[in-house]
Amino acid sequence: MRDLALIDCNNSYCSAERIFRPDLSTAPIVVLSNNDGAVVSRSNEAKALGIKMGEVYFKIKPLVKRAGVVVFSSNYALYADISNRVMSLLANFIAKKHPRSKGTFDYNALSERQKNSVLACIPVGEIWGVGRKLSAGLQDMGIHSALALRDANIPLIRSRFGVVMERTVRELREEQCIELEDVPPPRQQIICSRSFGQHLIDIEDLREAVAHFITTASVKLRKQAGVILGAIHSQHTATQGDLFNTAIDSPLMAVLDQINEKFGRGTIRLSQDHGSRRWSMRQEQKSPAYTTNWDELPICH
Amino acid sequence: MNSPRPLSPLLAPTLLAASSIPAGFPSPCTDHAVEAIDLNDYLYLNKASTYLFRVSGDSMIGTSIHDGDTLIVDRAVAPLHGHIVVASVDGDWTVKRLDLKNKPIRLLPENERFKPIEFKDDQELTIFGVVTWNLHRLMRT
Repeated sequence: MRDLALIDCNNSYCSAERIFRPDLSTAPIVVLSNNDGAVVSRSNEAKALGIKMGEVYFKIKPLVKRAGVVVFSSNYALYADISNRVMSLLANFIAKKHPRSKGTFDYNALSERQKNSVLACIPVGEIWGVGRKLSAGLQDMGIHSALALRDANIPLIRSRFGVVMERTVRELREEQCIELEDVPPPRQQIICSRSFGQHLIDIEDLREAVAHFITTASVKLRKQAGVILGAIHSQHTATQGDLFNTAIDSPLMAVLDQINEKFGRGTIRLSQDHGSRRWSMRQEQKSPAYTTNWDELPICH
Repeated sequence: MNSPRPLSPLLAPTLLAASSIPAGFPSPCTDHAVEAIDLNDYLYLNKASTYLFRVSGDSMIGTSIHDGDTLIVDRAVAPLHGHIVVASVDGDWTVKRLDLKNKPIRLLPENERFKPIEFKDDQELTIFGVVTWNLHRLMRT
C-alpha cells in the first residue's frame, strides 16, 4: 500500500494576508467568505477568542469590535497565487531531498495503540465526507469518534448510510478503496453561483446576474472541452440564442474569451449583462491584489 | 470557374513551419536556432519567492531608484550587509540599504534629505526580501 502525504498550510488565507501585513503577525484576524457572510479562516489568536470556523459574520461583529479583530474579505486572486507559490516551493524542496523538518507527522510510524489514541480524539464530524447530518446519524448510533467509526459494523453502516460511508470505514481500517484521481473526470455540471449581496426586488437585476454567471460558466466549459458546447442545454431560450449552440458559433465565443482574458474580465459582455452589479457580492474589506494586478502592487517608501 | 470561397477560420493553419521547405540549399541557421531571450527567466519573475513593489518617493535616488519605479524583490535571498532590502517599519514598507556591520543595525537611505533608521536592541527588523532588480521606465506612453 502506498503512503500518501497531505500537505496543508496553517490558516492559509490568514497567512497569505500576513505576508503583506507583518504588523498583524500576532493579531487576531479572520477572512470572510463570499458576501462577507461567514468566517472561512482564523488566525490562532482569533481561534483563541472562540471564533469558530464557519461562524456567521454578523453574529461575531460585537466581539470583533471589542477585541480589535482585523477582518478581511476573501482575496481569492491573492490566495490562489500564494498557493501556487507554495506548490512550486514544495516541489523544489522535495526535489532537493532536504531532511525532514518539524511540522511533519507520520501516521504510519505510530504503533497500533498510538493510532487508536489518535483516532479516539477525532470527532466523527471532522472526517472528510461526514457532514452535519451524517455526523448526527452516526452519533445516534453511539459512534462519536473516528475510532468508533473505524470499528463499526460494516454491513450495518452500509445498510444505513450507503456504500460511500462503507468505503470511509474501510479507509479508516487502512484498506485502500477510494481511488486517487490523477486527472479529475470531465465535469458533468459546472456550478457557478453566488448568493446575492442584497435582496433583489427587480427581475432585471436577477436576469443580469444570471447572464453574468452563464458567461462565467461558459468560459469554464470552453476551457475544458475546447470549443464545443453542445452537451449542455438551456431549458429556456436565451435572448442571445447562440451561447449554447453548436460549434459553428464557437469561434465567436473563443474571441470573446480571448478579449476578456487580455483586457480584463467583463470587457465584452452579453447584452443582458448591463454591469450595474447591484447583485454582486459584498467584499468590503478586501486587501489589494498585491501579486496579480499592476495597479495594486504593495508600495514602499 | 466558380468564384473563390473564403477559407473557413476553422481550417486556418495553426502551425507555421519553423523554416521554409528548401527549394535550393538548406539554410545553415536551422541547426543553430535557439529560443529567444525570455525576460521572465532573466529577471526570475516566475520564481515562487519573487514579488513586485512600487516605489514611492526618492529616498534611494542615489542608487537610481526613482519615484514610480518597480522593484523585483526576492524573499529567498538571505539579506546581507550592503543589500538593498524592502523592510517593514512602523507598519509601512520601506526600501533601504541594509547596514549590518555597525551597531545598532540600520537601514540607510541614499538621499541626504533622509535619516538612517536605527534598530535598537529589542526592536525587531522584519525584512520582506532583497531587491534584485529595479525597473525604471524611460519612455512614457
